Amino acid sequence: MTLIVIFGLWFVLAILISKNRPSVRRFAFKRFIWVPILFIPIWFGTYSMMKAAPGDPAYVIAGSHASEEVIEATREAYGLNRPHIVQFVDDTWKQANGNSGNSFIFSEKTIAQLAAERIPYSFAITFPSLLVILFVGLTVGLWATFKKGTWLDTFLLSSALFWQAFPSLILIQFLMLIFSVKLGWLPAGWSGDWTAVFTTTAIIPIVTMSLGGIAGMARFVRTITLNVIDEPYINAAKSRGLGPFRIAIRYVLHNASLPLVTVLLPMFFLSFEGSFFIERIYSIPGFSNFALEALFARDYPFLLFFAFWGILLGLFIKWLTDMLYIRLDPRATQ
Amino acid sequence: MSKLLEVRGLSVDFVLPNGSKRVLDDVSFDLKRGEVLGLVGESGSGKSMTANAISCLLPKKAQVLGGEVIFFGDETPADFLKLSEREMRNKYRAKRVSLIFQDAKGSFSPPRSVGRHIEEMVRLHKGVSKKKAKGIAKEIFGSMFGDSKEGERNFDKITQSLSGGQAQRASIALAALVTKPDVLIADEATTALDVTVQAKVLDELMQVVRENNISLIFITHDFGLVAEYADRVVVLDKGKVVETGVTEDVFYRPQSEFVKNVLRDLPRIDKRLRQKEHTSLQNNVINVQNLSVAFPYTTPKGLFGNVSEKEVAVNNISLEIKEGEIFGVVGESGSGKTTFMRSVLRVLPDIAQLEGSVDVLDKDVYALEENQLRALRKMVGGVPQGTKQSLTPRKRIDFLISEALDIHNLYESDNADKKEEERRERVAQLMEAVELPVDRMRDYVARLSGGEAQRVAIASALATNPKVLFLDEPTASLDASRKHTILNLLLKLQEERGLTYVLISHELPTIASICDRVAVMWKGRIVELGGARQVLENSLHPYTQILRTSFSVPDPKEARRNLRLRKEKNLVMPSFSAQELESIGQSELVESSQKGHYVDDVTQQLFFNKMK
Amino acid sequence: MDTINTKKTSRFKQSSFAELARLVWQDKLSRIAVFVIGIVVFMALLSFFWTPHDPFTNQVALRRQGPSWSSWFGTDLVGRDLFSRVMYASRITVILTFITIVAGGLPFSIGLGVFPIFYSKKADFAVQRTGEALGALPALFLILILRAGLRPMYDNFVYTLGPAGRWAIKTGMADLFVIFLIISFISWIGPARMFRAQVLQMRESAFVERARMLGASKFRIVSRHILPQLYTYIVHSALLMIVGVVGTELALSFLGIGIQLPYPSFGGLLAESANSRMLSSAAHLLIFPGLVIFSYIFAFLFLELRLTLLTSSEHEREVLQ
Repeated sequence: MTLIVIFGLWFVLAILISKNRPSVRRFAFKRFIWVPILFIPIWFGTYSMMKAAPGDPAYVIAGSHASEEVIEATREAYGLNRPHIVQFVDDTWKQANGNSGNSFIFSEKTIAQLAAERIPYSFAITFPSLLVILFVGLTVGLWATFKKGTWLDTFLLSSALFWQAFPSLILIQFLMLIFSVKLGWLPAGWSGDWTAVFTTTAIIPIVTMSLGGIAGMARFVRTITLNVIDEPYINAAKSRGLGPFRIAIRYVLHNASLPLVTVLLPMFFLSFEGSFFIERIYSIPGFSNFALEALFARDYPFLLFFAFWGILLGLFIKWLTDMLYIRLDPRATQ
Repeated sequence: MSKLLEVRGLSVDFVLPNGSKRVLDDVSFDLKRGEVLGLVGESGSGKSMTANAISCLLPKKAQVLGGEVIFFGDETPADFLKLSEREMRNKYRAKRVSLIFQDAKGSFSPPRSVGRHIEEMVRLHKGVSKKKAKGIAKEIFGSMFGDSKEGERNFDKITQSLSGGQAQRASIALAALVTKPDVLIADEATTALDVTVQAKVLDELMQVVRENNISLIFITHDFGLVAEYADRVVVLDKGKVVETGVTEDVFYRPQSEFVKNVLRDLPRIDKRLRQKEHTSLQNNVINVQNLSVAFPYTTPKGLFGNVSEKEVAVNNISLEIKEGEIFGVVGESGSGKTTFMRSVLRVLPDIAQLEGSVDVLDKDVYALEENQLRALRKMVGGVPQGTKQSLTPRKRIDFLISEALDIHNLYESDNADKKEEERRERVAQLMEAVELPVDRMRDYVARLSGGEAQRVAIASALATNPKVLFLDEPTASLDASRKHTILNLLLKLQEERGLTYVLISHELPTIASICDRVAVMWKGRIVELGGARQVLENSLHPYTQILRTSFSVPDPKEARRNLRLRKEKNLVMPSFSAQELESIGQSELVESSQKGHYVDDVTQQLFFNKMK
Repeated sequence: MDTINTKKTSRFKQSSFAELARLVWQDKLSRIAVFVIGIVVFMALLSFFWTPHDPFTNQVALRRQGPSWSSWFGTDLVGRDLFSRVMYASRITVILTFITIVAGGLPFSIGLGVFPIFYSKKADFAVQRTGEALGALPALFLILILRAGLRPMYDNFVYTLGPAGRWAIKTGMADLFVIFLIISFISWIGPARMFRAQVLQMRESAFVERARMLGASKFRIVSRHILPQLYTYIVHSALLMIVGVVGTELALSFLGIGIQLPYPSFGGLLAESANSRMLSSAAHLLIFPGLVIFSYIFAFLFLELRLTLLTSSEHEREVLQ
């Protein structure tokens, strides 16, 4: 049922986005229909790969030293002897209903509970980071655009590069070394629940997460803005007596926002990959951290949950990005 | 007439990393109120720079070294060059001085409809409410399109969906009709358009300009257009003014060498370069029967479906090209002439659907096997459209010229060193034949000028000693004198090698200069076919006549006669609806009273009906 | 347009690899970057012949010591010489760099990006859909699953190779190979898409038309006419791909699923430093490996940026003519 609710909301979103624009509507729904068609093979493929991977779930549950009979019994109990397809359909059905079962590691809790507990922590660092990236990156990028060719521009570009090159797992250690260990200004680990995001606890992880992103965003903004400024219609707009502000917003920004949107959304939702290491090293009980542990421990209920909703989320992001792009730029429908 | 704008001693440099380049050198001229001033010159002469300088829109790398641009429109004259950007913008741009650009579609912001741009102008310069602005904008826009329905439809379209002519009309509305400036500068405004569309748009532009008492600086590289429309002329060459004067004086009594040479070299419809008469031998080199080529595509329909449609590029044409002749195919964009060439040479894209037969040197091109086809390619050469674009970037000249030799292994020697020597010799021979200095053999393509690139392309096509040569737009992007040179070169080569040419061009003067027989194509059909003189001087089909009068002649009297003809006999390109075009059916060429002169009577009738 | 280009600018117009190399060499900043990369490569090569100490020998008595004359980078948690370990780690990184260019993601992306779309619609469709499907999954996830799935089979296979196999496992080459395969599996997608877009445009261009008219085979057109136009794109993609691959290896080894400890790799070394609870007395465990790998990555990224600038100023000159 959960799945149906989700799709229902998605459908409503599709209607909202394509309001008043018939061409957009056609695309919105066409792409919407494609989602299940794409989802099923990808999900099936992933599922099969997971089941094919060694590491019999039975061993995980019962413990690797259990006797043969216990293993067999476990298998029966968990339905692992059924044909592959049957397992697939059953598991899919369970996921679709939001019934994700209990984690192997924390067997008292369901995956959904665990997710609910941990996601706020991950959000606590990713969300603020994204805001920082967006605003600071945009500002720096625009600043560099205006100062193109000057020393400042070169400096900004080089430092952007510098921060982009820094792998987060190294950076966070450096920051912890300098600010926690040597200077003692900031804590070296996460303490408290997710509301600790408003305290100094959150500074190091957020900074680590943002620096690379700011650099990337700034460079990107600079590139697209410069491209737009070179276009003939900017000059034509000038010749018509339009002032710099008007041109900046209605012409430059409008045209530059198109590629920006395609980049922004994926960044927004899929920043979990980066938070792996930060959560690990900084000891944040977040979702990524748990995901990693689960992967190693072969926590199958979790893996299924992660794959199922992860793929769906990925498809959703792609759909949303396409929709926004089409909404902003009528050319894309031609 | 009083002086409206005076440019005095304007000099502009481009500052480049490796030195500076003088783009305008002491340029001076006047613009009088109510006149049309033609600013003409070849590419690189500085005409666009002048336009930019006047409106103070020069690129960053440009530096004004000296001079004045004085505007007499107000009580106190103002020197534009001395004004601040803000003053220029608030007081003069668009209000008193406006520009139209060559790239009409590029003047609009791509995701926005053209109507919005006009609304914006109306709001900005007239300060009315949003609603009112829309109404005014629609009116103004509609006035550029005679048939107001078309205007309404196009108002909400984005530039990408408009045709070239519509886009240019939209930009005229945008630049001239909202603010009605004193001075309008049209910078190569119609260069990118088809000739018949160009004629229409320019006629309309002149009307707009006269009705609103706008003084026009008409910038172009086309001397014929200047002869037709301008009251006075300023001729630029390499940044300097070489001649100014009243149009008749400049054309009939030119003072400068430059103008004299141009007028001498420029191909004209009434000037014949090929002196030899071709006696039609019986051998058919190329025989095309009932050729039709269509390109399928899908358009989305409804919520999910797709409809397959076909775009017909060539519609049932039949042709015979005889040995030794120079055959011309003339038509505008969309006429199918390039597709025709590609069909004969069998270089169509894979999705093309072809019907009919194409025989080259008595072989059915589409029935051949791979290696037979490759062998045939040695006999038929092609020079595609686009001078520099047809040469692979970053390659050296000798590689390109000898490529055919490498592909077909036409070397006599076996060992590698001898082959290399032989290759170099052959390349040298070919370069001499096309009059390129042999020591440039190892140059990269980027260092070639347009005319030189054209020669390289020709040389590479001649490498296999073909019997037939197809040339697609050989003179299109060349300046006047270069056109002349290439045409002479082609004639020379024809003599020397006994070639048969198929010359495809939209430029009637080029075709008229050297072709023996001509086929006129329109929308995939041949509408008229016959000897060059027959077709061009005794045109039977209205389209040919329209084409003829749309072409500007560098001779004021002749040019104005064309103008009058267009008006009186309504020799203007009519617009056809999609249904009308679909309902035409099969074309058939019917021989007229003159032998060898054919006309497609179906479309002939169609045109007659439309033009009443 | 009928202008003639002057002699002076033509020197920079052609970007075959030799020209590119010269361009890079003449730019002082790029030279530094190349130099940095060179140092790491040199370290890697040298490690096959000589290291100050044996990177595997534990000398627990000497653990956690800072830099000294005998141990230039200091010792790690169990007394192994860090400098030697860094040298060995650089092996992994450098080898990965080179095989990616030669036999990994780069040739894949060129092959799958350039050829299918020129040759056959079906092939192109297949390649595109595969790329989309692979791209839809979070990369790390896919890597983990693939690795989990392939590993046992792979281990068995390596054993059957006998002494060679054992050597491979011992030196960490076996690990490296798996990672390399898996990463290549994914890294070709992005650049391939970009190449494809370019080829699509060029397919309809006049110079391709001319080559077809001459009778050139499809292969000749792709290899002699189209591919040369892609050189700059290829170089950029190569540089970025290297960064991606090195970074991914770093991450994987850090998590323990790349190069397995005790075999040294930068990820592994950094994992050791992360696990050490006493950063203050073991800061050198972080600083030295961290700086080395960071410099390596930064050098590539810097080259990429610099190349964009250097080759675009050509363009400006071209446009002006």
